[in-house]
Amino acid sequence: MDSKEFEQLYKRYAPMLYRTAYRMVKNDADALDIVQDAFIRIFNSFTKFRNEANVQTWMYRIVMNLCYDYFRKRKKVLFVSERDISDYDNNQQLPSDDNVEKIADLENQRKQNLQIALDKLTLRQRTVFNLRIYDELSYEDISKIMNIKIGTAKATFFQAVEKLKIIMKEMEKNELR
Amino acid sequence: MNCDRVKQKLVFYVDGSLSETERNEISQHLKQCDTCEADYRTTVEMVESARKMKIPEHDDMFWNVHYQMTMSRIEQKHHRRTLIKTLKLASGVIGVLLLFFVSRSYIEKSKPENFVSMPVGISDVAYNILYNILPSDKLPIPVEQLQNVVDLLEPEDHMIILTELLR
Ligand SMILES: [Zn+2]
Repeated sequence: MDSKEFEQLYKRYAPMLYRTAYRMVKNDADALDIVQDAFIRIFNSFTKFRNEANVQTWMYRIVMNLCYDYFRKRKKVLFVSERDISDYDNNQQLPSDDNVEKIADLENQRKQNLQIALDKLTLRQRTVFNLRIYDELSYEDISKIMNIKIGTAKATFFQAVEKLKIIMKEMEKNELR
Repeated sequence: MNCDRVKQKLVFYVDGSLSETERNEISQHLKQCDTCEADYRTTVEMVESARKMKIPEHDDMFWNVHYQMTMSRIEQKHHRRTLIKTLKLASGVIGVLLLFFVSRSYIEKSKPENFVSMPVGISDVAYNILYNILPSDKLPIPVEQLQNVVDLLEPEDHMIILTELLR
């Protein structure tokens, strides 16, 4: 593969693939590692996929597979790291009497709730949700990336959104109490 | 469209993947139904705050360094692969060399006590054959010179000389 061509591909897609990986692993260093591993794979088999209609879908697929590998490897330490994250979040919440900050707090609270809710989705639900909401991919592309049927992708997205709504509603109810 | 049907389609109404007909039908229903309208608002709010979620940004310079690092890793892997390939290729040659040394040490072990050790070379084997078969007084040339002569010969010549000598 021509290195100039590869460099162009890199500069064009690395930031996008990084965001995708980050939303899955929620960690800067690990997301960057995944992007690096993905591009090594892309480099090694690019000639095979040069003529593929959708290079982008193929690259997403590589990144998602690496994210899943990451979760498989991390399964044992997940419990510890989850606790670490919530400790970190609690430290970020500083008490405030200012009204403007209270509104910002409400907004932040909502974002935090959503983050917690997203963690409660299954890996498949979270993947479909991320690819649809952030990467704004079509259900057809999502089905190709995840190797599932279009109908399954749609149903999974529906389940993900419904689950998020229920969890969020539940959390807001508890806060009002 | 009834409420149940709207509930099934609402998510896709929000993400914009419905056909125009379905979109219009749902819009009509939302105007008349407060329950579905509330559900619609919750979904939109949730999706909007999800979209607002921040992730770290890296600038072009950062990605340039990241690219260089990836390239050096690709090169490292490439060098490693080349090395392994070379080793695999070399193992064929090593195999031949090993065979040579094993056979040589076998010859050395089986040599008689008065055997004169000679420098290692392709002609070694030929020399050993000559030296061990012929009694020293029957050698055509002095032992000291034999090696030099044999060294000048091609391997196939050894057999010719040998048969000539034994005739
Ligand atoms: Zn309704």
